Amino acid sequence: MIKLELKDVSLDYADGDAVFRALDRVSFAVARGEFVSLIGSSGCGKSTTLNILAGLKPPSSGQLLIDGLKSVGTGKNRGVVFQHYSLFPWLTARQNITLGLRQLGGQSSRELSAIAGRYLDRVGLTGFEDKYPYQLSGGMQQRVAIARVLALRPEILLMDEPFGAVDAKNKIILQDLLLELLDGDEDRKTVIFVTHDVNEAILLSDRVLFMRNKRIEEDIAIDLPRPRKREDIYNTKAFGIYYKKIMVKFYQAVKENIGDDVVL
Amino acid sequence: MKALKNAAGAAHIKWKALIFKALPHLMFIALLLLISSPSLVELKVRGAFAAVAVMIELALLCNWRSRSAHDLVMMVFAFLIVWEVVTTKIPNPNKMLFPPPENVFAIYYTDWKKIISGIFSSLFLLAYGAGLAFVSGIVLGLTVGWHERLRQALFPVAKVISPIPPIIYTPYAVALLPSFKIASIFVIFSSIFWYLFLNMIISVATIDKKLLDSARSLNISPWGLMRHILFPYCLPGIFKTLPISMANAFMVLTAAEMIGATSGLGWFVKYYSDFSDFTRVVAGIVLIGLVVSVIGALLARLDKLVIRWR
Repeated sequence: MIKLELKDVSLDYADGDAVFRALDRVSFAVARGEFVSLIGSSGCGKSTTLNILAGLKPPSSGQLLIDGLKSVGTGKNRGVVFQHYSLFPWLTARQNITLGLRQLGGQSSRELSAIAGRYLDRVGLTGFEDKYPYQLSGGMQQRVAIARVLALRPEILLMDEPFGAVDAKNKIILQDLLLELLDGDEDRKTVIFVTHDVNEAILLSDRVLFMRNKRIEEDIAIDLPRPRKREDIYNTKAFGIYYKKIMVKFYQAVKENIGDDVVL
Repeated sequence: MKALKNAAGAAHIKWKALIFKALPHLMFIALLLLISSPSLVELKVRGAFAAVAVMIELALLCNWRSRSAHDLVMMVFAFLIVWEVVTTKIPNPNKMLFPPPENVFAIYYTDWKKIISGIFSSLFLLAYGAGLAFVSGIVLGLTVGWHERLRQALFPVAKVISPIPPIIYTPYAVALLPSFKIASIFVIFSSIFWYLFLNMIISVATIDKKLLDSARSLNISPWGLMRHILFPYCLPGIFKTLPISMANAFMVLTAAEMIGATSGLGWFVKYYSDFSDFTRVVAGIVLIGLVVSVIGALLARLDKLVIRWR
């Protein structure tokens, strides 16, 4: 069953008289419960795609369909985690979560506070509920951001390089945490994950979309069993094959871009 | 041999540090001796000045670890000693223009009713005008800063009006408006409002887009955006300009009081300068300095209390 779909979506933006294309006729569909990564080098259009999926930017042409219906603007069915500034510096970890929850309405602030506490617990931040973001490490801040988005119980999770600014060790911890949280959910969330880390994309995804030059260039299915464990995945032959396949795409991109540069 | 030399050096440094530490206390004793010794001019009450010296000494004893408190008190005592010696121990060239500290501080004792009512009347006007300016400046600043069309229309207006020093139209406001109270509230209001309004517009308009995206992805309501995102985002900036704003407001208020009031701190100074009663004038000036400092210190406290996320 298709959960969300981009149909021939382009985005142009004007800079003075010049018009630039930020996204060029992108189409893809994501099944319910599927984990899809958008991978590619900087400026390839992957974050733009995510912003359109989140409803933060309206496309210049084409459509975003969610559950078969045209979607405009942000919505409660989608939750977003960004690389930076996901959290509001003036709110504690708990308040950052309750602020999001309060927009859904219907619960007393005591109930909201209890829910926030439970989700912080799930991401391993018990005891840090009343800390401000500046008192938390980068990895901990991203845990709060994940707890916040999960507490909203969205059907679709949109993540824009959520672990991009985290050190290698914390990245491993956070990836494992995300795998565990998603696999532990009976009603699997649909996830779109933007990254430029090939290992991360293979480890987490059911499908990797390789983007280049504002377009989707290749759709690579990652056929590895779930629930996944890092140790098992890394030791499979398939992992190496996928890794090579994606790296070759990057390598080609590098080679062809060098060709372009020589013209200058 | 070398060790001995070092030990001697250390002892020397220790002696120096000890003398330095004792200096303000020695100055305090010297000041008390000066106060109790005979004076060349007639003094009404000496106790008030002595009480001030004792209070300063006690404040230092409470903060005896602080080096800056130590240095500050030393400077204050030095100033008081010079003042005391110049006005009472050597022939005073002009007793009216150079009032001795005993007489100046005695004013707080003899005129305390007038002084207390003056402080309250000034602070009442200040609280009124500043309160109005802060509420309207923040609400309008957030709204106008957020709404692009309003911003483009009103930003130039604020930019032209805000640099006009309100002290310049204070006499006109006092003449124009029906009562002195309304006039001084108006000038205090305008001394804070335009600057604040302009700053709010700028900071709302330049908020980090990533923070806004984060807020929008939470489906936050327009009211929630104002209350929970834009307002706290601007709050540190408001506190940063607060001490300057309040000092400006106080300046404008005292100026207005000198023109049209019948009570208040500015009035006190102006009224007695008309009678050439410079003892009271100096007492009033010192008092205004104290009141402004206390307000500033309270605002700094408030800043630390409110902005806990730095």
